[in-house]
Formats: sequence, structure tokens, C-alpha cells
Amino acid sequence: MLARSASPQLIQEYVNTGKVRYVFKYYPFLGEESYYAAEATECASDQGKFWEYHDLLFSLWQGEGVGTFLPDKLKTYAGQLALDTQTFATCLDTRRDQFTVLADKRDGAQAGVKYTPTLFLNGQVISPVRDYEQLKAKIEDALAGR
Amino acid sequence: MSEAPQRLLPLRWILPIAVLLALLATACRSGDGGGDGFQVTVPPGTVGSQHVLGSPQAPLELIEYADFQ
Repeated sequence: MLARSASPQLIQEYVNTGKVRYVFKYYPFLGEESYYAAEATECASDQGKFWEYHDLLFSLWQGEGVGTFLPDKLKTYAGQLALDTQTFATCLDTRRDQFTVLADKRDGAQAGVKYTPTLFLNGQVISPVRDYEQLKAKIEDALAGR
Repeated sequence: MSEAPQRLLPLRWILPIAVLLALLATACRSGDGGGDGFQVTVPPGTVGSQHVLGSPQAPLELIEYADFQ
């Protein structure tokens, strides 16, 4: 999965060099923990720590529906990143950002997303991508106009 | 003589139940637009998240739709 393993390389080689603009969108569909995790990340974003929380959640992945992303755990992770845990808890418990997450999912569904991760390069679906090398090859082809 | 109907009664329901389950499975796969049977209902005008890395002038835009699980 790109977000779990290849992102640092992608960012170093293509984003930081001005060749690629990378956009992350939520597409929760593997159960309630997917929605909790996405909404929690948006709550972290409200405190200016989206990417830190995003990276932490992907690093904690253990499988589907195993309890890693239940609300109490997600609040603990917020504490690990020194977020204001009271504000974070209120945000998560009231589901303040649920429509932001659902809007991403709506947009993805309209664009044809059926699985995750789905990758669009300049509007064209390029996934599934096996690994970073394959992604890199597709980016190089696009940069060369192939 | 009284046992036969008791055995046949469940059999009579197998086909309708199988058809119903098949229809439900099909609806969950294709009818929701989201892949998980979850109906995406968002108030009109709601904007999605805005998490971007990189320059707006970059020649390529890579969008990733992801699930944390």
C-alpha cells in the first residue's frame, strides 16, 4: 500500500523536487474502524497534525477490525502526538468531521474508486500498483509524455 | 405420512432464500457507490478534505484514496 510504505520515497524523489503534487483522500470502506480512523485524522488535522497522525495510523496497522482504530485507542494516539486531547476527544465523539470524510468518499465513488488504495495520476487510474518501483515507472512514463 | 411435509417445508424455502441472499449481495456490491454497502449521503455543497503535499505548479498530480485499515 502506497501510504504505508512508499510515501517517504515518493515525497523525497518527486514531491520535494517539484515533479509531483500528492493529494491524500479518505476512502473508508472496511468497517466502522475505518470511519473512526479517518474522522480522527481529520480531528488531528484541525490541530495542525494531519500528516503526523496519518503516518502514525499507518504505522500501527495490524489488520481489519482488530480494535486498533477504536475511539479510545485513537484518543491515546492523539496524546502520543501531544495534541490537545480534550479538544480531540470532543471532535471525535461529536463526529465533527464526518461529512468531510464522507465528501471524500462521495468524490472517490464518483471518480470510480472501488478499492484501496486507488491512485489517480493526472486523472487516470494507475492502480493497482505492486510496489514503489512500479509507481516510479508510471510517474517516469508520465513525465516523459509516454 | 406426517413426516414428509415436515421435511419438505424447509426445502420449499431454500430457493427463495437463496435468491434473496443473492440479490442482497449484488446490491451491497454495486448499488451504493462506495463498495461497502454504506450509502454515502453528504449535505449538498460539502467539501472534502484538503491534504496536499507539493507545488501547485508540479506537472503531475497523484491522488490517493486510502483506508487506514
